[in-house]
Amino acid sequence: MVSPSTRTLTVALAGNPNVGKSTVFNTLTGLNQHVGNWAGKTVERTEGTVRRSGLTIRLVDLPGTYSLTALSPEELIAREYILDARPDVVVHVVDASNLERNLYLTLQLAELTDHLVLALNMRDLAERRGIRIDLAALEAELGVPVVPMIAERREGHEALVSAIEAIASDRRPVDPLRVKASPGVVEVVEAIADLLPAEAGAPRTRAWWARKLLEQDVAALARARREPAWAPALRRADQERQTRGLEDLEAEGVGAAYALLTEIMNRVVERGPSRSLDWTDRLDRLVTGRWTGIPFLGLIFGGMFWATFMLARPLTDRLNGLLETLGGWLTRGLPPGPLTDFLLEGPWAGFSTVAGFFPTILIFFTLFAILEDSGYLARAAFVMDRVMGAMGLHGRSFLPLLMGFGCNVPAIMATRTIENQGDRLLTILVNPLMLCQARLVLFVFLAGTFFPGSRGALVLLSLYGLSAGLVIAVSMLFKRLLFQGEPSSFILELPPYHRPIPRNVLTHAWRSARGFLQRAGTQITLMTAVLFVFTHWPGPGIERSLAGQVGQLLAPLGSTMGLDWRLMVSLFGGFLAKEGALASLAVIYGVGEDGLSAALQQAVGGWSAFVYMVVSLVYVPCFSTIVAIHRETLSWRWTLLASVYGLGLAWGLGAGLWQLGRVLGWA
Amino acid sequence: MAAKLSDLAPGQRARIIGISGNGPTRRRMMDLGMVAGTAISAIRTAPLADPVEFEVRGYNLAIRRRDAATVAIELL
Repeated sequence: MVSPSTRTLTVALAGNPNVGKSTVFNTLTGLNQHVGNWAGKTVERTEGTVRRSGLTIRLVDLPGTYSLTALSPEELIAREYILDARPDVVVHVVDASNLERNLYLTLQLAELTDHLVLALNMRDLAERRGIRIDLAALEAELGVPVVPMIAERREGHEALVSAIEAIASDRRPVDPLRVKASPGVVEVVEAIADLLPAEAGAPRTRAWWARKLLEQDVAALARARREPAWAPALRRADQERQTRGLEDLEAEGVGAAYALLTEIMNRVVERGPSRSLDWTDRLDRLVTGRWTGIPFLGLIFGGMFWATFMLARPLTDRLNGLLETLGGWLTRGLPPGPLTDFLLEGPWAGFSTVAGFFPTILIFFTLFAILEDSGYLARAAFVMDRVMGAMGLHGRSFLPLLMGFGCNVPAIMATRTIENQGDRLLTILVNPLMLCQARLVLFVFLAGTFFPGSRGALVLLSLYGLSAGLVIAVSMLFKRLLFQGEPSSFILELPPYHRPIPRNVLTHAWRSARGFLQRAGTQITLMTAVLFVFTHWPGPGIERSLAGQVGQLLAPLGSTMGLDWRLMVSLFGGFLAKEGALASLAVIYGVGEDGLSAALQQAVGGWSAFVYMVVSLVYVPCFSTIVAIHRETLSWRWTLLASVYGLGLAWGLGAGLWQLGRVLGWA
Repeated sequence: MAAKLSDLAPGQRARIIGISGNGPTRRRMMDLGMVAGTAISAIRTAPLADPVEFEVRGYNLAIRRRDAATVAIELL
């Protein structure tokens, strides 16, 4: 017997942030998920499969957006996907407890597709807040099926799947409500739409583009300038806008949409007394309170920092032990010789470095997801925005910067929650200046060697101060030089507090860790191979390698900072991982790490050692950080800038400090 | 001269008259429901006095004072 043919539908999931969209997605698809990036964008793309008898749904999770204006990459992705990929059905997940603003996006989606269904989520929350929604009335008003859901408790999913199938097979007629523009505007829009080429889409799509041209939507204008066939429409739009006084079509359109929504709300929503006497508000009095907000933030982030880097340490140690054992087996299993050395100290060492990040990233993103899901991260951004704003950054930049004190890799990955691209890039660019734990290992050793007792603590403290000071100075400088004219604004929803859902938290953490490992694994393993050759060939020893020769060529540069060629060469060793500089120094001085202190004390002066620490702090991000920067910017130009600006800065600081030391008689 | 949203003290309520300027910030605020005629109230300020938390259309929104200053209001 031939098995019944299976129908495949493509369904897009749209919705505002904080409405439980990912809960709906995770519950529907289970572990059938595929994570990647939207082509050429740093926005995560998640796809999953839902299987029912005779039906396969390819579910595409669109980025969470408040609207489909072309203001952010997320919004552009969402609307371009619906316009270009033409999914069979678009599911709009809305928060029932915050219906009015959520439905604004419904109206925008209705402009792009007929096949729309509303997933009315969080009904329990709405009921607790005394909001009663007349489902039949809402369906009638909107002209689309409304499926009530409580995604957290897995209620309503089957009804949603049925609704999707019914719409796709045209068994359920849908006629979405659309905002009516004034007759004058309609006439103009139609005239422009008629000038657009047929390839621009169906009549409704053309009308949508025409309206966007009139609104001077950035993406619409870009497309019209790119495609010659759009020129007449573009000219007409410009003309009409000027002659008819349509300068503020946006305000008119948005105003009309919200006026319509207010009417609908009056007809379908009944407000009773709220039974959950707003504990969000009570909690916020503490969490964002005048005297309590900052101490509370210190407590939460301090705890998070401690948990990430202290809890991860035993795990990392155990993992490293395991990798060493494995390495030992490899050493014994492989015939001794240069090739084995290369494999073990090159690619294998690189792989071990990357694997060593795994516990830290997993724990950090678990905690990060808990804070994000609960609604606290938005509060933290609110509390810290004043300080961050003064530096040209965003309130959301605070956590990634703070985490840079632990490790720059997860810190840079955490910038994904910063919506504005300029703010996000800036936060990424300055992050490597944060004194991470790997550098701390190096500095603790050197401070102990050269500055015994309390002077050592003072040295470490001054390095932390320098690190923070440089972040402030460099971000202010880059803001002026690179992001001038970028409007800086802070408009952030503070959603009600919400108990994090374990499944979402773990999925999020696992994705982040796996994503880094997949990408970094290959890149870093390759790079360590190159770096191994650079620091060992022709050899023996790093001082007789290519790196040693380059380092010796750099000796004149080093002497401007009071650093001899050995110290310069060791900087290459710190490139793979910052603490690697120690191992390089031990090799160069021909001593074990135990004898390194004594050897260094003989060869290097105290002030030189301090300058060396400052240079090590600033000169380049470690290789894993560079990989993370590229992964998060998807741009070689930004990656290059982030990787090399430190060189100039390190030299300037090093030379300045060295000369200062000479003047003061410390050198 | 009309009052500005940035002048609204916590606990006060106002109606939005309009948003000046032309940039993406204005459009963002409108998309979030801050259109002419909308009621808005100030809830609290951040510990360092900026930004300010507002309630609009039943949900809470934090806005920097500088952005709030572009919103013309009348007190209710």
